[in-house]
Amino acid sequence: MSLKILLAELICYVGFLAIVMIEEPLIVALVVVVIALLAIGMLRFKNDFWLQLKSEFSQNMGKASSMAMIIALSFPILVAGDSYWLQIANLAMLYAMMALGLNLMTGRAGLVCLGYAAFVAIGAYVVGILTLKLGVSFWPALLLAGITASLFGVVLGLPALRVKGHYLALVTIAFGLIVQELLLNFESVTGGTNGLINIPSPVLFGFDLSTPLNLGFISLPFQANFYYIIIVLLALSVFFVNRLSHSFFGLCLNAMREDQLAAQCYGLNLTKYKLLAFAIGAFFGGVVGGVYAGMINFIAPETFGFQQSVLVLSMVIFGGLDSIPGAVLGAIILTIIPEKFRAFDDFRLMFYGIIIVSCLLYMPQGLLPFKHRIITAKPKEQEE
Amino acid sequence: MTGELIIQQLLNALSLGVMYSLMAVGFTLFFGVIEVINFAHGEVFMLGAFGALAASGILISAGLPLGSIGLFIVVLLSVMIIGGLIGAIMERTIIKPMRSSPEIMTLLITLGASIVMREAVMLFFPNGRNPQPFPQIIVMKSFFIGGVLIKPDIVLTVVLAALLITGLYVLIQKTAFGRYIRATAQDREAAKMMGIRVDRIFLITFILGSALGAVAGLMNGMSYGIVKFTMGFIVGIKGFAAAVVGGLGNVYGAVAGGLLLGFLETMAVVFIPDGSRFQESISFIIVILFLVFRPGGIFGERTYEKV
Repeated sequence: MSLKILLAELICYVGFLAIVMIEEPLIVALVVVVIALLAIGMLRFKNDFWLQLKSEFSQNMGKASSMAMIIALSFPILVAGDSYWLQIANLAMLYAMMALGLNLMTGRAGLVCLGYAAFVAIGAYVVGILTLKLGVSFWPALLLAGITASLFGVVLGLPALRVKGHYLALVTIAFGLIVQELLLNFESVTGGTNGLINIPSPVLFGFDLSTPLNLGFISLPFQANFYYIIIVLLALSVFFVNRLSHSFFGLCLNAMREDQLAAQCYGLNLTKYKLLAFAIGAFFGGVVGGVYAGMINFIAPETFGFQQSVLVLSMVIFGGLDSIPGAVLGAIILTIIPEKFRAFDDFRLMFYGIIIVSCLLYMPQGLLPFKHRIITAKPKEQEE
Repeated sequence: MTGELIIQQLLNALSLGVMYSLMAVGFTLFFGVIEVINFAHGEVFMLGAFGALAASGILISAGLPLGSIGLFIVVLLSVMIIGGLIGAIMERTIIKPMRSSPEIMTLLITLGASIVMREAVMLFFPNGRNPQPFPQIIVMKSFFIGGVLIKPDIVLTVVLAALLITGLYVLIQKTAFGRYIRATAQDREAAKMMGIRVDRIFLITFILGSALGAVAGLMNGMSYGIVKFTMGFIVGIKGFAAAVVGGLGNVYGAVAGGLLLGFLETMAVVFIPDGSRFQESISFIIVILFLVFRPGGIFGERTYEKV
C-alpha cells in the first residue's frame, strides 16, 4: 500500500533533484521529456494507473505527506550544501506557507485578497523592529509578528463585512498599497526606502542560526538551519490547515464561499467566520514575514509590493483553489521554474502573467483540484 | 493661500479628475453591460500613451509638422483605434471564454493579462524599461486670466474629455445602438430574445471603454510629458475606485466619481501637511469609507441588488 506512495514520491524527488542540480538547460529539458515519456508509458501500460495512484494518495494523505517531509529532510545534504539552491528551497517553502494562508482566505472562504503581501510586510517589520530596536529575542517576536498580522487581518476584515466580490478586491488592493506607503513614509520607525538592515539572526537553544551547521560528516551553510526550521513550520502549517479544513469550521467557510446569503439563512454567523478567515490567513503571512526578516537580515518596503500578492495568488490558482497539496506544490513549482531560467530573469513577471491567464483559460481547476466533500465517513475499501 | 493659487489647484484637480473620469467610464461600462471588472484597463491606458508616442514618432518622421492641430487629430484617432483594438482582442481572447466562470476568475484573468501587457511593453518596446519623453504634440502658449496661469494642455484635456463624454452620452441615450446597450445592461436574456446580438454588444462595449481609456493615456502623456510602462497600474486602480465611488454601472456616477477623486487628491496634497507623501493612502481610505458606508456610490439610489 504505502510502498507505492513511497516509490512515487522517491521518483518525483529524484526528478526534482535532477532538475535542480543540473545546470545545463538542455539536459534539464531532456530530463523533463524523459519523465514525461515515462509517465505516458505508465499510462499505456496500465490504463487506470493514475487513478489508482491518486486514490492511493487521497486515502493516505497523512502517511504520504509525512513521508514526503522525511524525504525532503535529505535535501540539504544531497545538494551538498549548495547555498544558492538551499536559499531557493527556503523561499519556496515560505511561499508555500503564504499560499496556504491565502488559500484559506481566497480558496476556502472565497474572500478575494489582493493585498496578502501587506501581512508579510507587517510580520517582517514587527520582527525587524522588535529585535533590532527593542532587543526582543527572535522567537517571541515571531509569535508577535503572527499575532499582529492577524490583528491587521481583522482590521481588513471589517470593511469586508460590508463589501464583497469586486469591491473586496479593490479594498484589499488599497490595503496593500496603504501599508506599503505607510512603511515608506514613517522613516523614524521603518527606515523608509532604505528599510531595516542588520536584523539579528535568530538563536535557537544557544545555537546561532547564522553559523554553519555541522552534521559531523558534512558541514552545511547556514541556510540549512533555516531550511530545517522552515520545513518544520511548513509541516505544522499543513497539519493545522488540513485539520482546520476538515473541521466544522472549514465546512462553514466553504458554505460561505458558495453562497453568503444562503449560509446566513442557515444560521451561520458571517461576521465571525469572515473575521476569523482573515485573521488565520493573515497569521501565516505574518510568520512568513518574520522568518524572512530573520533569514535575510534586511527588509525594505519594495519587497512586499502588489506583485508579490499577485504572485502568491497565482501559486494558489496554479495549484487549484482550496487545495492544500495544490497550494504547496504550486508554490514550489512556481518558485523553482523561474530560478531554472534565471538567464531570462526579465521574463519572470511575464511568465507569471502567462501562467495566470493560461491556467484560468485551460485549467481553471488547477493542478490538484479540490474535491468537494460528499461522504464524511471513511470509504469502504479501508475495511478489507 | 491666495485666491489665484486655489483656482490654479482647482484647475489641476479638474484635469486630473477628467482623466480619472474617462478611466472610470470604462470600468463602469464593462461592469454595467458585461458584469466584469477589467483590471487590465490601467494597462490599456498605458498602451494608449505608448501608442500615442509611437504614432506621433511615425507621423513626425513622415513629415507632419510638430505641434500642428492635424498631427494631434491623427494621433488622437490612432490612439482610439489602438485602444479599441486592444479592447476587442481582450474581449475575444480572455473575457468571452470566461463568461460562465465565477466572478473572481474573470477578475484574476484580467489581472494576469495586465501583467502580460505591462511586461510586454517593458521587454519589447524600444528602450521600454526607461521613462520616455512624450513629444509636445500640440504647441500653445500659456496665458493668464486675472492672474491665474492657464496651461493650454489643461484646457485641451478638459475640453476633449467633455466632448468624449458628451459623445458617449448621446450615443447611449439618443441612438438605437445606445438603446441596445442599455437593454443588454438591464436584462441580457430579454435583450437576446428581442433580437439584439448581445455578443456583439459586449464586443463593442469593450471597444468603446478601451478607446476612452487609451485617450486618457494620451492626455496623461500630454500633461506630464513623460510615459513609463508602470504608469497604468495606479491609474487603473484609481479609475476603478472612481467608478466605485460613483456607483458601478452608472456612467454619470463614474464621471462624478472621477472628478471627486481628482479634487480630493489634489486638496489632500494642498491642505494636509505632508499630504503628498500620504496621497495614495488618503484617497484610498476615502474610497474604503465610501464602500463601507455608501456601497451604492454617490447616487446610491440607482444601484440594484442581485440575488
